[in-house]
Amino acid sequence: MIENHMSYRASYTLSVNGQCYRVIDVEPRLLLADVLRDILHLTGTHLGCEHGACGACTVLLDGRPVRSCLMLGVQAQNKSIQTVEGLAGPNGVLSPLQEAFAEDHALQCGFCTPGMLMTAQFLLNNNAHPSRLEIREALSGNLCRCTGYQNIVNAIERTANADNASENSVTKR
Amino acid sequence: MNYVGQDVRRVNDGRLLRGHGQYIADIYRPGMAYVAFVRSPHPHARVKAVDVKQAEKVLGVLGIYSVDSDLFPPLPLLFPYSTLDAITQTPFGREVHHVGEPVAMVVADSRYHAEDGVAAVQVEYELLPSVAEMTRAMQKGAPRVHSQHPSNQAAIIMQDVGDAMEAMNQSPVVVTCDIKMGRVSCAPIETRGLLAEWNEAGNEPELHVYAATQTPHMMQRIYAELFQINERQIRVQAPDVGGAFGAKEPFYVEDFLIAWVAREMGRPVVWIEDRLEHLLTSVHEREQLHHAKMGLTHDGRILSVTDEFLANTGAYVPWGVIVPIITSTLIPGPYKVPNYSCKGTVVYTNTTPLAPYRGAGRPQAAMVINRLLDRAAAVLDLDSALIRERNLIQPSEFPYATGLMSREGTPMVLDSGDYPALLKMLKEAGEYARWQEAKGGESTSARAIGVGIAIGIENTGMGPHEGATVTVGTDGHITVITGAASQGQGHETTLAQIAADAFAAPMDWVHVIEGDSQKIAYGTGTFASRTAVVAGSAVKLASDQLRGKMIDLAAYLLKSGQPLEMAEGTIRVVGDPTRCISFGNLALAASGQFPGSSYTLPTAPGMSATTYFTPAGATYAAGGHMVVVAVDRVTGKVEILSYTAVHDAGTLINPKIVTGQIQGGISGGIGTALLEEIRFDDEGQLLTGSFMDYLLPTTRDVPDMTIQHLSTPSPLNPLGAKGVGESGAIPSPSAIVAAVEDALKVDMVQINNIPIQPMMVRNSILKSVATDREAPTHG
Ligand code: FES
Ligand code: FES
Repeated sequence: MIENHMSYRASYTLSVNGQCYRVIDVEPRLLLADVLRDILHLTGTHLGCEHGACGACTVLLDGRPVRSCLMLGVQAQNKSIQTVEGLAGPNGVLSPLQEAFAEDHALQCGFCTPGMLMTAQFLLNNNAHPSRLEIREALSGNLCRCTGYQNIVNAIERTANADNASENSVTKR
Repeated sequence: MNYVGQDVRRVNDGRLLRGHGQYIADIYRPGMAYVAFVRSPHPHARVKAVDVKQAEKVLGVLGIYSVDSDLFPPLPLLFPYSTLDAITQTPFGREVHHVGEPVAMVVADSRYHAEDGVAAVQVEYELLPSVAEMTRAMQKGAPRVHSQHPSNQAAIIMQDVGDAMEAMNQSPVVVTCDIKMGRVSCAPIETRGLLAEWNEAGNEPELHVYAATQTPHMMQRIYAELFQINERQIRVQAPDVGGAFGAKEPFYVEDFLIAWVAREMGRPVVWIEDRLEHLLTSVHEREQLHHAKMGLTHDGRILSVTDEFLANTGAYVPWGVIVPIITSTLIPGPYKVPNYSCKGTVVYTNTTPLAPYRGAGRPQAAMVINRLLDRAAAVLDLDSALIRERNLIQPSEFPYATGLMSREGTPMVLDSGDYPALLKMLKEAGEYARWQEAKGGESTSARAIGVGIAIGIENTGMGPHEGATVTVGTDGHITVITGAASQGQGHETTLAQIAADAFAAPMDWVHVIEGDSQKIAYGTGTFASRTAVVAGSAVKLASDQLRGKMIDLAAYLLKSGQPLEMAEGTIRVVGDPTRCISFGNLALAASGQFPGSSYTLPTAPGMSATTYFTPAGATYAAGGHMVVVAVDRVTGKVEILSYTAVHDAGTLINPKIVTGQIQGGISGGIGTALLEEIRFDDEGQLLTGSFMDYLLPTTRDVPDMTIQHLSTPSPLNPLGAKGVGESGAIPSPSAIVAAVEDALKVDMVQINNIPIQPMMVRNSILKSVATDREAPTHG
């Protein structure tokens, strides 16, 4: 039994942050998180539990948050994956959400942060004006042991508000 | 501009936000092998045989090591204590004493293959009787936790001030409080992990370890002892660390085994703890059972406090019995307790060892004294803020000798504070009067509202020392090196603020390097809320010393007897900014400049200073919390409606970071009070092995909090700082319990157990209404 699953190997293509990667000759059982981290060296996606409970490993798969510790890399073929490394703009300019996290001290150790950012980005993509309660609801599956969450909620609220402000100014013109 | 006192943005955040952090699991070394452990499924057993034949055939497995591999000495004891009968863990010991102790390790070319190997290792155990619960462990005839050890008692801790028994007998009012505090896990979101590599190519073997640790220099020293080599041969480096809270403070058997096996295998070896391993083997804390009594006058002044408690230490004492010692010395807290006696019994059980978790024995102490005061307030029909006011140590009484001995064995003296002002601020910020009024109407309905307050103090900034080396480079930039390590506290920013002020330099000219035993000779580490105080003071002292030297050299080079000042990375003549020399040119001059030239400068070569700060004693921080809860009397669910905290952390270096530390601490306190509990069955099988069973507070459990600061600078260090890393976790459980009891006043429910679970609340309400009233309904 033990030798059995070693004999299968898989090669597949992954699209991550708009780039195409060829994953060659790996065991099909590799988790998406491990493929991202160990094969593609995108170590921004963190593993806090590998039980699907902490949310640190959250990435966006075709725009929806998934726990990369709960699915296999092969299952992500033909889908578009977004990780924390894809949030900043060209030349590493922080996205408005990242900028707000820095401004509001929404990270301490930074270990939960990639998962928080991806979950929050999904929320903002789908709800431009979330209430604090909606923000808390959306993040309720992401654990942070450092911050007590308040500053994370603040940062997301700030991002949404800044967005509203820029929308307003656009309408005024 | 002064940076100290400002909300300076953290210098590290951009890197972490982009996903470019370098945590232990992100480090890759060529040829690195991966470890997975075979762990005992039994709480107490003798390992009879380990069969690795099948496992050796597993694809990718490179080596298997077990209890048969070698005989290792037990780990050193980290904090001795006079009455402690210390048993520390032995790597690959023949007898295992809790579920999860390693009995073998599989080294493979990937973690997947290492796990495959683990699944194929066969271990034969001879089961021994075990005990997990501390009261049972102290009973006559209880199973022996360590079969070679006649008693399960690890230590007795006694404290005495005045004559507590006599004063209790004379007290007109006596109240009691029995409370059991549940066991919790530190649970940083990043687990433990380390990567070890030996270099045998030089004159002598060298060990290089990357570790997710709070204490790199301590690890270095222990490696020196265990491998019988000199510290110069060992480099321990903490990369970015994803939170710690105590879990990454002790030295564990895995820390030894990974370094050992890296040498055996002659290649880099990495081990990353998984979450089950963390909940099973990384230290736990809090578990204590207290029986406390308080004697008071009719107007609510404390005459005497006595407490007897049991503290579980699990199978070993990785950090001595520091937690129950701290509890025993901090029960009186911010209050005047003229007569006090405390007896703590520390008990071995066949469970995961206990050692400091954020708060380290102080939340238990705050619980005991604050709950006693609430019980007294109820009996005397006094307002719970008022009874505190009557008993607080007054600002004029500092330095306040408690009559106790501190953990170092010196008299325990509180250095500074203003507790009455803290309580006043708390009542105002939390709108105490308004809530007392507002809660009234609802209390017998399905939703009952309660208000609780608690005040706790914390001995922070402890020794022995921390050092800082401050150096000016030829580009004029300033490098600060310290032995402390950061796990998210933002030292890279706060320590830089201190140095930037000393040199009147811009923040981005200061670069902080921490957590590397090779960069500075000695270090103590980050724990016990000490870095801002001890490392911060060292940075200030070293910076001031270097500043003096720079001014001396500048005066010589500028040939100026006039007063000089630092500004914008230069030293210039006051009033004549054209006569100036840049930091970079000073550093260049002090370097000797040209090889072979003679050194003629009046100051010693180099632009660098190293200073160690050795605090004379702990500085005492304080925090007052006020909580308003709504308890659903039908389901027993507790919801926090309002949370206010006022803290005295002395001089604030970066208020935003300090507030963040307090918010995180409170979040932990909410977990301790309402959610988190590590549970074992009677034999010692872990029942809470994942974050689905062990509940960390989420965004829905931690409310928005109001945090305010009161600052009474400490006289014990040059910054006036007090530690704050743990402070939020200290009064919080007690304030929450008080609020819940207050909400359930009509039901006369007493909370004797935390975490407070809905089922428990509901059952006690039902029990109480069964006697005289109808059960509450939502209808
Ligand atoms: S690591 Fe995937 S949810 Fe925790
Ligand atoms: S910032 Fe450390 S876990 Fe969230």
